[in-house]
Amino acid sequence: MCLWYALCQLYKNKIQTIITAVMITLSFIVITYSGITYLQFRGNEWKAREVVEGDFKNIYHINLINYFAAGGNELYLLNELYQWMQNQSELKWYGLYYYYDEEKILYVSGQILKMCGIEVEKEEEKSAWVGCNRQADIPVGSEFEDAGIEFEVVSCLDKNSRFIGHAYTTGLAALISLDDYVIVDLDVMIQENPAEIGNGIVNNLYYEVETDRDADFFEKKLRDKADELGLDIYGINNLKSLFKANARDAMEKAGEKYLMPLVLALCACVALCVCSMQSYHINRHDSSVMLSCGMTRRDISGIYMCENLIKILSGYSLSLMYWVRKNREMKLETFIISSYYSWLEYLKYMILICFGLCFVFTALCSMPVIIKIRKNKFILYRE
Amino acid sequence: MIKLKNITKEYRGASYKTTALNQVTLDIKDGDFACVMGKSGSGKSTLLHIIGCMDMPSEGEYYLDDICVKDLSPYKLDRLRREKISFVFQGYELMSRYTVWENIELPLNAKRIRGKKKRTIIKDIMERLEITELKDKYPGQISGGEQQRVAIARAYVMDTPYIVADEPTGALDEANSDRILDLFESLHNEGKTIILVSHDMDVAQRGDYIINLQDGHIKEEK
Repeated sequence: MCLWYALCQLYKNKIQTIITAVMITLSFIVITYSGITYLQFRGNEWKAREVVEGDFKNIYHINLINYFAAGGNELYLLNELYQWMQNQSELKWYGLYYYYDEEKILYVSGQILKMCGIEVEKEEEKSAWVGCNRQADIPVGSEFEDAGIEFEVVSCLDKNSRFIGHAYTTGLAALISLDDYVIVDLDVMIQENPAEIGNGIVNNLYYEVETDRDADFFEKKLRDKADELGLDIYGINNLKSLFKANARDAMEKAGEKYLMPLVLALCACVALCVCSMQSYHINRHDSSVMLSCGMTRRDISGIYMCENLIKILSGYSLSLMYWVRKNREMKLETFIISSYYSWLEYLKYMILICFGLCFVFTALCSMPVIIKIRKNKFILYRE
Repeated sequence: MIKLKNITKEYRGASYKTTALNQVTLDIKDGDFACVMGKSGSGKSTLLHIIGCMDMPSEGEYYLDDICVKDLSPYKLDRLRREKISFVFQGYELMSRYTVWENIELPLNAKRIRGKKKRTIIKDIMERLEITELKDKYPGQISGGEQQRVAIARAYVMDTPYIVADEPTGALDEANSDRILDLFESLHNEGKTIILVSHDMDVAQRGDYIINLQDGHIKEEK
């Protein structure tokens, strides 16, 4: 039987019938759209996480600055580096880095690359590391400039002559000893073209840690090592803050799209609630009378279900909207805690529970009657 | 035509069994005005419910216009009832939240009759039964006699060949009872088949013949 017919029996007023029919339709549309948008929102959040956490999970690089200019020993560097890398068993290491002295760095870089499992020919190596470009817009360099430290940033090419570029370089965690000072710069990666990165141009050159916990661990290790060696650490950043900013942006962008469906859902829910309060609950007597007036059991159960559908939809819509909204803003436990300490939040929480209970109760009460109607167990009265 | 063959109706509970009808065989021809009489508990209402397809017999066969009711699914049974049978009850059985107009239009909605045709049908019957002025009133606002006329109007608009009435004058005074019975006679004169249940001999004598029920059996027909 059709929804319109059922509504006509529930609401004798035509205007009310039309409004309810429109609201039910709107509710379905809004709920579906909200659901899809919410999934998209979660998807965006996930995508943001993927972009940030995928190839860019807590990426660090360290500048080797002025090492050789200060008379550093490459063998010492390599030894230290190697030892330290061995201790970082849970971390993967790939390397690309900035350097100062072309000759020696070329050698060091080649060795380090080999250590990382990247084979580079000598000649290629030489040409690969040539072509210094002072990248004035690299935020990583600004701190060193402020500190009066000269440095060079090199745009690098891998053995396939693919441009890696300063923005996509990763670092090799290394501690160097300089006579005067050590600069260890764990810098934030700039994600200008994450898609390209994701496609693997520099995949094999990324240093990855899996989680924030690892990043914290790594940072702590570095600091501990620096303390042990008596080194100063100048300027530590990591990708966590960038991840958070990106994820927040992604969520806010998704949330903008999400706002209108939520508003519409609220309007539909309010209208449905009003309509449900005015709808008449079909009882057993009315069902019997309707049977005697030529209605089929199917019609009656349809009307009954329609009536409860309205109530269920209104409760469900409000619950869904409220839950989704809250989920976006805070975690459930935070919400519960805030509810505990805030009477207003607590009231909203109770309303949510009441709605949920109402529609469950209504559904439970309706089902036995509907089943009886369908099973032909209704007669008008017995002697 | 209504044909009942060896109809038996039993009500069973966890620890009891009641036989409301026992081997009832009955034929009611088209255009008859049959009155069913009997004391309380004789099975009158049960017989009416079976005739009206509101209940199924435990045993026996029931043919309504040569259609074996037993073989029908619940949905088809409901459809058959909608086409063939309308009801008038002792307690009027009006929908208390509907106005008089809305009560009368209920069967028309069930038949998907809408718009001008529906309005015309309702207006005509309301004029005939002199209840036009009660159009917007609720059952609780009108008298018993008026309610019964509304119930008859509701049964009439179903436009079925059979009208089943269960003690239609049971709750009315004499004047209103006569008026209601006159209405039934006029419906009978239009060709409707009336099956009326009453414990009142005066009411029963208005029909073409009387079927006496006693303890679930047909005692006599006269």
